Amino acid sequence: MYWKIKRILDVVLVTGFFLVAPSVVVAHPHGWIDLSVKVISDDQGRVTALEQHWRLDPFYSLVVMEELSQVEDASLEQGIAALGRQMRDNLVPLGFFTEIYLDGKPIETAEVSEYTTRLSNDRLVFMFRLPLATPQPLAGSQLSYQIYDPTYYLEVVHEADTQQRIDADALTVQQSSPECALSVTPADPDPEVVMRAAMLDVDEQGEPGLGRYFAETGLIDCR
Amino acid sequence: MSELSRPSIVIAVLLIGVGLLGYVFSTDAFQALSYQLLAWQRDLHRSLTLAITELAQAPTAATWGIMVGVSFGYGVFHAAGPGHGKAVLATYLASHGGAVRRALGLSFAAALLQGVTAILLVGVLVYLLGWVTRQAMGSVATVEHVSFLLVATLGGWLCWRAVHQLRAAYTSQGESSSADHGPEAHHHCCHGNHHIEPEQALDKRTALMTVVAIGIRPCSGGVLMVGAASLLGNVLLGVVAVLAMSLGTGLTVSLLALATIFARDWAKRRLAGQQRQRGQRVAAWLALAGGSVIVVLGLSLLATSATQPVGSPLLDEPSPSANPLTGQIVNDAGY
Repeated sequence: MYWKIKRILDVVLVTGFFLVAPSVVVAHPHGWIDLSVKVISDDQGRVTALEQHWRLDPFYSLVVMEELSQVEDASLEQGIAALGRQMRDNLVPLGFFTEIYLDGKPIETAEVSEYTTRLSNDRLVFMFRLPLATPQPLAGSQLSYQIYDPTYYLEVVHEADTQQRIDADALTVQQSSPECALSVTPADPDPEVVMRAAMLDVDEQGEPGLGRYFAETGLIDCR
Repeated sequence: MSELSRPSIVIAVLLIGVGLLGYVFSTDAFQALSYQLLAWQRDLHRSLTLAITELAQAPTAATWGIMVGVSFGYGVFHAAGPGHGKAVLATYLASHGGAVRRALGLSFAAALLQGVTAILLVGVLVYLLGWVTRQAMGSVATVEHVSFLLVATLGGWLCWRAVHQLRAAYTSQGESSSADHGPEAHHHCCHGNHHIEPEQALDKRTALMTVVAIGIRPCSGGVLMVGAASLLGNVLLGVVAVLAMSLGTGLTVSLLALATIFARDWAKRRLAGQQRQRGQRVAAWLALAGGSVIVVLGLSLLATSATQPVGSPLLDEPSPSANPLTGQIVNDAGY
């Protein structure tokens, strides 16, 4: 029957669709973290750590709290504390999602020992201090960082208003100095690069994860 | 002579069309569009979370309206993102036929089933079995595997049918004295319009299985939405949001389905007057090709689904016995 022949053409068409389909297959975040960062320094003005506040999105906070409320023989406070330990343990192999650069060169971080978790306006807040392996003097230098979930399951963004203007206190320094300018630059990835990365993911080549392309960059510029 | 050259012209035109389409998809403009879709999706996800949170605290007609609108929009763009449903549906429609009504019906049925599955997962696992929402979200991965297996099974079934068609098409060649009737049609034909022929019933079954295979897979975001709404004390909110989302998804998917149907109809008109015998064989080979594509699709989805993140990297996998205080948590490192 003539009308059946058309099917070969359709298959050609659909095959074409498959060939180009990967370019639109892009994962999207399922939750987010509102971030604020405080640069901690010692009495000599050297940077010793980044103190981070992660505010989990309302839904994630809700379901996590639901879980804690079902644990018997424990107060909510104990539960929240245990949750903080769990998050810290899970984040150690992930480097706390954080990459820090001094004048463009990556610098090492040390083990996180100070962390707390609390509930604030129904949002779960995870706070921790990520120490630098060695304190870094800032004078004449540029310190920058990116904090992101490589899998892009979670989106990490600095605290911002509804117009996506980043709050002034999303990035602060413990010892302010007039020579240093603070700024947070939103991600502005090249769509082509992102789409290529999305396709790479399918074959497990290259560096996995889309998260890096959407990472904001915090900058403490003391040059 | 012109009869013979017609298919080749049509094929050439379609190939050029596919080439052009491929070119368009690889251009900066298209990639910018994909990126834009992702950005919108991300913004809508956030808006929706905040809208539901707000609505649970202060429900008014206006906040309801906004929430439903945002959900619908999220569904529209969500379908433009990842998902195997569209690919399976397009292949099915292209290789196994269907009219506009059927294309629309399948698209919306599959999209709605996706929403209903999310609602049922929360209803059964959370309300009946007493799981926590995060466990219910974790179960999405299992349901997903079932969905992929069903896709592969559907493909296998379509292949099996195609093989039968092929055998029929080739054996009927010698005994073609009964001229116009197909090899199987003459046993039961001519019983009037109300009689459902076996072929039609089979088609209904494959259509149903297509809907189930792609619709059974919920979005973990949908499960989270229903679960969170129930935790906020108004599960209806989540149900409405997920259904509005499904309608939006159905809209996008049906656009693709319609495009497939129109491409076919165009080809059908171009090819009017082809020989029946040859058409049957071509159709059977095509059904086989379509079935094979669906099998491969199902299996590759099954293979890659293991590498996709299914939960928040911050937290351990929830398990029924998980107790963060007694350390009974099973920490599936690297999962």
